[in-house]
Amino acid sequence: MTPIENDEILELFLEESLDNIGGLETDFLDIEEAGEDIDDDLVNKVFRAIHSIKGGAGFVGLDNIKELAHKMENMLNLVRNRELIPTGDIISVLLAGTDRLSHLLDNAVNSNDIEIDDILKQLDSSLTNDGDVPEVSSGDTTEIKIPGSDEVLSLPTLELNQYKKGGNEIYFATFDMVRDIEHKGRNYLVFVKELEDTGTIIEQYLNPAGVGTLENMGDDIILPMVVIFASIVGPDIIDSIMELPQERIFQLDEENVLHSIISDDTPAAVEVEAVPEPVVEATPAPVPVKKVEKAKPANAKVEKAAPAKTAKGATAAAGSLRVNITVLDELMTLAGELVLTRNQLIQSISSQDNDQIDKASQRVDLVTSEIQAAIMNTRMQPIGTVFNKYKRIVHDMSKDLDKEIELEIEGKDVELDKTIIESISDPMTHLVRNSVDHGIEMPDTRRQAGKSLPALVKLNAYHEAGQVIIEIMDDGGGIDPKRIADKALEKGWFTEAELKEMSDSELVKLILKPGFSLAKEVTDISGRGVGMDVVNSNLTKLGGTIDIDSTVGVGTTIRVKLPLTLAIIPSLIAATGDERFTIPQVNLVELVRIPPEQVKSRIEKVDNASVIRLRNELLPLLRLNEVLGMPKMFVDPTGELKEDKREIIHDRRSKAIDEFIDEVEEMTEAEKRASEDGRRASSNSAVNIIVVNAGDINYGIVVDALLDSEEIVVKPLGYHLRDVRTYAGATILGDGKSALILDIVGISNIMSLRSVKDDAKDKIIAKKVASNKHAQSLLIVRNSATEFFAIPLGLISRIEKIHKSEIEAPGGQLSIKYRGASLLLFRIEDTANVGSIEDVEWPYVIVFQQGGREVGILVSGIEDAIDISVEIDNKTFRQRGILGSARIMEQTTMLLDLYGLVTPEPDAPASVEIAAPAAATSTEATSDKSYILVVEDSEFFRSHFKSVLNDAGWDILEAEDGVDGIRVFEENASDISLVLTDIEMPNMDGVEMTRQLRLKPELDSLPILACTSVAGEQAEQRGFDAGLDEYLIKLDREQLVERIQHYLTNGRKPSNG
Amino acid sequence: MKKVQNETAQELTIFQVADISCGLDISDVQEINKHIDITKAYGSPDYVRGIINLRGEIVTVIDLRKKFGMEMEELNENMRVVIVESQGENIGLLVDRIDDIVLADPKLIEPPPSNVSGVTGEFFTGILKTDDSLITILDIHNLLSLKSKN
Repeated sequence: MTPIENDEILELFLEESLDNIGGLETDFLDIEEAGEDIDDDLVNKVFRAIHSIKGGAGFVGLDNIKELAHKMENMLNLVRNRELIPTGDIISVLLAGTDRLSHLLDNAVNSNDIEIDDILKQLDSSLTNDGDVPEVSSGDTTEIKIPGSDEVLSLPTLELNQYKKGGNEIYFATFDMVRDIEHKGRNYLVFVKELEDTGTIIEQYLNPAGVGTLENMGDDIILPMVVIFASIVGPDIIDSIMELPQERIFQLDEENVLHSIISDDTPAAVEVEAVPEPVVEATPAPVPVKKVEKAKPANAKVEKAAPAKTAKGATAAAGSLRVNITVLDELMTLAGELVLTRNQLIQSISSQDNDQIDKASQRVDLVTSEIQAAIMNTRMQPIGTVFNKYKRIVHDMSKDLDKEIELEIEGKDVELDKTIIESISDPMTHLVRNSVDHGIEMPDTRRQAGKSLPALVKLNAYHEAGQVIIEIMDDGGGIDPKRIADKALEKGWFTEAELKEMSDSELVKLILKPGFSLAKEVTDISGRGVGMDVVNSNLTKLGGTIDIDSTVGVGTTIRVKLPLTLAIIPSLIAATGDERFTIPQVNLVELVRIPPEQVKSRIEKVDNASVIRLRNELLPLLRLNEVLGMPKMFVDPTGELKEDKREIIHDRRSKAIDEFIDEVEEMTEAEKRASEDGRRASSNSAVNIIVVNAGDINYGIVVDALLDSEEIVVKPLGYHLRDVRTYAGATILGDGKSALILDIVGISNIMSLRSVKDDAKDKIIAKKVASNKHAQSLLIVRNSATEFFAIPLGLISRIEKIHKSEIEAPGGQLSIKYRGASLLLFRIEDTANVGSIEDVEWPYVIVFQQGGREVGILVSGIEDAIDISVEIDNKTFRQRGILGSARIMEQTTMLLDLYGLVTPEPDAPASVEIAAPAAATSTEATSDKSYILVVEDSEFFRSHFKSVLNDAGWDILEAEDGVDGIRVFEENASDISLVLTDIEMPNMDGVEMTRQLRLKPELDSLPILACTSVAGEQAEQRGFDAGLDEYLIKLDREQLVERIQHYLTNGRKPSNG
Repeated sequence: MKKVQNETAQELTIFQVADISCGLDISDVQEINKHIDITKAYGSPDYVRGIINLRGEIVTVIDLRKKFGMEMEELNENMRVVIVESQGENIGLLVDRIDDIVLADPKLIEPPPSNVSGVTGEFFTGILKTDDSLITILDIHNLLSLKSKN
């Protein structure tokens, strides 16, 4: 047979075969795992898949594919009959066969020229080694009973078996030379030739017993012929090949009994026949063959339905996608809804009915988002398709490397956009290979270390906060930060001093840097030029981030965070010059606005590059118009943007900082003139910085204005723009105009940005670090025009700008409508004796958590957010709501006690003694141990705790960090009744300190409480594991006093011991 | 879109770029766009004027003046974007104005000289001589190829 020329059928066959072959790998591996305990359903499934490929291939004339599939099928048949145990070797050969098969299918047209002898030999040899094929001598015959008569037919067993092994079905057909051939205008020779095209005729003879007697001669004359025919054609279409009625054809089953091909007397199969099969009708003869498994009639239905489904897909171009029918139905409904809404809209516009237009546009909004969701749904694919691939990789690699590894997969059903699924496969492969090659130790090493065998590599996927997290976990040797530090030193990236400063996790993250390889030797598997940096940049391109968590000797977990989809992304819209740009939200870190008077102090110059100091970090700054080479613009007196031609752009670059400042001043000048014209242009005087994350580096982009955030649809750029690395694509904004999407990673590459830490850290940070040890991030706010207040930044959930008309005062309690609920507002002057709030149009609300709900403090203005180390004077201005005061930026600034401000004033006039009576009794009760040890690195909080606890009647001992804490504790052990500790501290953190204190059995009953402003569940669990009793919120004075009281009275919960 | 049935005659869209009269086979022209709202794409090749939104598709607009080595002009009322298809995507050509559609007699088309008003001849497939003017027929492939020089 020659390869078939009908493209459509070939395509159909290929599509179906690729479908069939898709799941094989995983199935084979599962079969191997099951070993002797053969799972019949699974083996049958694989058998059927290969069988279908074989059948189809034979039909379209792809002989090599047929032959290979046939050999594999034979092997599987032996497995199915329990004649062959699927050992690792057998499965390896089958896997190799699968690989070759898919290679052949990929090159189907030329497949007959591709060499397959080697693989056939492999299959054969593993068969002869392990297979135990019953020997058949040439003389044996098989008796076959002819249905509907008592006749028995003898056929040579050897020949029959050969045909059967060749993947053929054996048919027995009776027909009448007169009625079925002559009367239909057919020629017997042609008939035979046709049959020979699709199979082999084993035997044909005129059946003398069937020839009518003289009585029924005449019109009823019959010449019954019998044909024994071996063919790969399935029983479902054999009748159309032979052009004989189905009832005349019988099929030989494995026990050599003939069955009618009509049906298995099961309703399922009958139903199948009723299913219209368009392919068959269109092209009667050459159809990809689908074999209905006699043994499994229920499956017949499924198998048969397939061609009809794929027939539609065959017309589509290369990439096709299976979509759940319910999703399509949903889309259809929504399309209908959209049409109705359009009609409604047109009608209401023509009738000028504003009310109706409003309603219709709302509906458009609704329907659009629903359609969007539904269409996204069609693109969502389970990540299992990617994960399953790694079974094979891990299987093969562990064999090659002589390692014993088990792959565990979780979260297969988590869905991601098709494009993301396609693009994560390569980076993931690298990570999995790394785990297997570098992570997992050799079995001997593991045994010596007392670790379990087989080693574990685990893949996990789950949703978190609108993103998908993929974890690649191994329980191998972990990444040794010391080796990384050595390597980094050797490469000259960092000085020894810098490396010492780095935490272990910072060191481990260095493996993401380009040019980093820890592999001592390049193995066949890893270290082949694709480094972790490529993985990192590929994932960043997808809007993902990567996080490494590794403990030496325990294992490594790599966590990849990915967005659900790339097609529609939330993004920020910013303007520079006369153009708008969008920045994907995933790249955004924060927005910083520097008022004109601070530009000089906040923006500094390091090696000709601008940097901004932001909470102790130096961020490189880029100006968008320079990155893009835009002409410089300024606001001219008429308020129009004009090109600034006074200087040539390249001159500016060299003098970055001075320019910066000059320019701001220039702008302010221009703006002054502009505002004389009555224009509001205040935003131009300040510097707007968008802090973005480009994988391993954060930097700031200076833009003229921040406009809005919008969900944008990402569109590809034309080929003229594809090489421009500054853009990731384009989109169409709400007004119909196009806008470009900035490629944050691309820009950082073009500008060859390096983390400022690399070269300039010591220059600027050094002088600050020393003094900043106990720095506190404070938000400085204004209430009355002359009074300034500071609030610890860590306590603030959000800051909202509101219009004063939004403030309501039902029953004297101020509140605003906020996110569908009421947010209670408090004024500082309501509690503390300070000046009244200024009457401003747009006051601010400082939102924070108190007792599990949000409350707000009203202030008139926000001055700044600063990192500062201050001496706190907790006497002079001390009162309810005010913790104390400090000199900040030449101003006396009062430190607000947020919780004091929002909790109702107790009846007692002396407000600071809120919990004193209760405490007094407790002090008595525990008079022999009267100190509370406060371990806290921030001077600010230490003084806060001191004041709160002293007020409540307790004496305290202070320590600056964990090490100090232990020292102080050891010195005064017998006097300390409770420890209150911060978590994040230099030298030794609170968790570690707790762990060390808990090592002493005599401290079993000592309550240790943690006080923190930020805590996640995981962090808390870590603390509890170390022996912490409870987490308290810093500055929640009532809770603090109440809990300490509780522990002093009741002692520790026994369960925590 | 009409396909030229007559093998001998070629239908040309005639437009003006600076002082050059250009012709483009009408079957190459997808549409002519009057409403121009171009977003500049800074950092792109200088002959790229920017991008436009063509019914939801982002289309790159090539400034033919710049491509021909001349200075760009401010956008004005007469300018049009001629949309052509190239390498499977739509590309816009910014031209000064659209003049006419003519049926060109192939006998009157001559091979291009090495340059036309200083513009390299590789951008043209031929020159159509009419009674009162010379129309240079554009070679879309070379014109839009990334390799071609300005």
